[in-house]
Amino acid sequence: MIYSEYLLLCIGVPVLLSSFFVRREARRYSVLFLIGMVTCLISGYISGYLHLVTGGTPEETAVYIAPMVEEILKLLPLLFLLSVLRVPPLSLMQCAAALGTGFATFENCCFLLQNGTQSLTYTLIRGLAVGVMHIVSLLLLTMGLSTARRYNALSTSSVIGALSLSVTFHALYNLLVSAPGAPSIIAYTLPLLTALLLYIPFRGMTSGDT
Amino acid sequence: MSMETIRNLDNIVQIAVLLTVAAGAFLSLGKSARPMSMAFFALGMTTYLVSDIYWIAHLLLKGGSRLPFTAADMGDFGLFLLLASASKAVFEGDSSRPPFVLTVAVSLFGLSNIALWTAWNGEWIRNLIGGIALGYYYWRVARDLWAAKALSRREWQGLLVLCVVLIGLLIGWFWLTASWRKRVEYGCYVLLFAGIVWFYAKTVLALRSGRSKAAVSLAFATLAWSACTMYMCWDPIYYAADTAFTLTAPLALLALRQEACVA
Repeated sequence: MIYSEYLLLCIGVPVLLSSFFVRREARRYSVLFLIGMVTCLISGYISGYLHLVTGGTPEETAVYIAPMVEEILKLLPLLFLLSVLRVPPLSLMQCAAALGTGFATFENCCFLLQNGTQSLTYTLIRGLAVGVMHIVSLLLLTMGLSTARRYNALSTSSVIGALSLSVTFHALYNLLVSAPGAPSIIAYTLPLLTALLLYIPFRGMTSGDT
Repeated sequence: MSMETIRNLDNIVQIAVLLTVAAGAFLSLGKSARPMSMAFFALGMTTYLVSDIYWIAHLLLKGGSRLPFTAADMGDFGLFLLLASASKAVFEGDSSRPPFVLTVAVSLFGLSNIALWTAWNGEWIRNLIGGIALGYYYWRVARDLWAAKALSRREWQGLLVLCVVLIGLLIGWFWLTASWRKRVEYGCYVLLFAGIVWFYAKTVLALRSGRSKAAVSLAFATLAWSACTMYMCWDPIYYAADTAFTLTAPLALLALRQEACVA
């Protein structure tokens, strides 16, 4: 058993302190990175609670419950940025990348501490797969939200619609990775391939924003 | 032909069509005069595609059993919400209000859908959440059909009678003997698929005559009616309705493209 809160303090405090000594863009990245880590911790609490309530196996929790909880919690800071702080679409994409990176970093750290480092290759694969998956799912969500916001169509239906895309993508990854062999290999390559596919519309949105 | 073969065929057709339609919608984004509706449509098709792949992977790796509400359900309901958003974007700025009786009729139809699903399978969480999403989509479709004047007065009356007869038959089904239940089921299948064919034909006619807004609303209505059929039917009829839904997606893309060029 590990104490995730201590781990959050270990990584989070230096990140938080450094944010006072850096410029605006870097500070925003640091703060959002930290929010991503806190979101990961809270989603761990909620998934753990639901795991106890539903009485399912850890695998069932990872496949069915965790994707929904994690994506809903990742949506909340994005909605705050979009609706309250009125962050423009381009900046929102960058914010999403920072949030996703913080989330993935914390999750990877917890995983490595709990399960140990099996091998450098596995650690690299996990870093590339889970790390990219969280960023990709957040970027998918942000693309939906940015599209809605750009054309003044931010409504409950569009937000939940965009959320469903990221949840389904995340759940597909968790489902495939839960089975050994070919499904796991497909799962590990899925985030990277999607990231490459997303790069084109992402560039389009970026150029359209400037 | 076994049920598994039918399911696999349906899945293969669905993935191929959805992949093409989603790619086509994303590629049309840049050229579209109404990119918002196209963007929502593209996201909706992508969601449905990912949800479909998820469900196939689930069947292969874990079998058919699952928790009451999963990502596949969320993907399906997300599709309806994104399609509703796409439809709303097409009719943005339209101030015509549908009559109150239409709103009441659609709400009753949506509620009876939820009640029937729950009576059949008992999965009330999924039915309630899905029913709200699909009910909203029904309402959006009805509103846009009205705004586009896609149906004549007689056609609206016919549609109302069809819905009342269907719901009446399906409620009555619970009190019938086994042999009568089969007859009622077949009768309902005929009515449901006749609805799909009718909406599909009207969409094609609207497309050919260049009534782009009517074509969009009719294509979205075909999708709504196919979804209704899917959730009202058992295997293997379910897969036929699913295929009808899939084959309507390219029609919806064509209608949206036509509408975007006209605007």
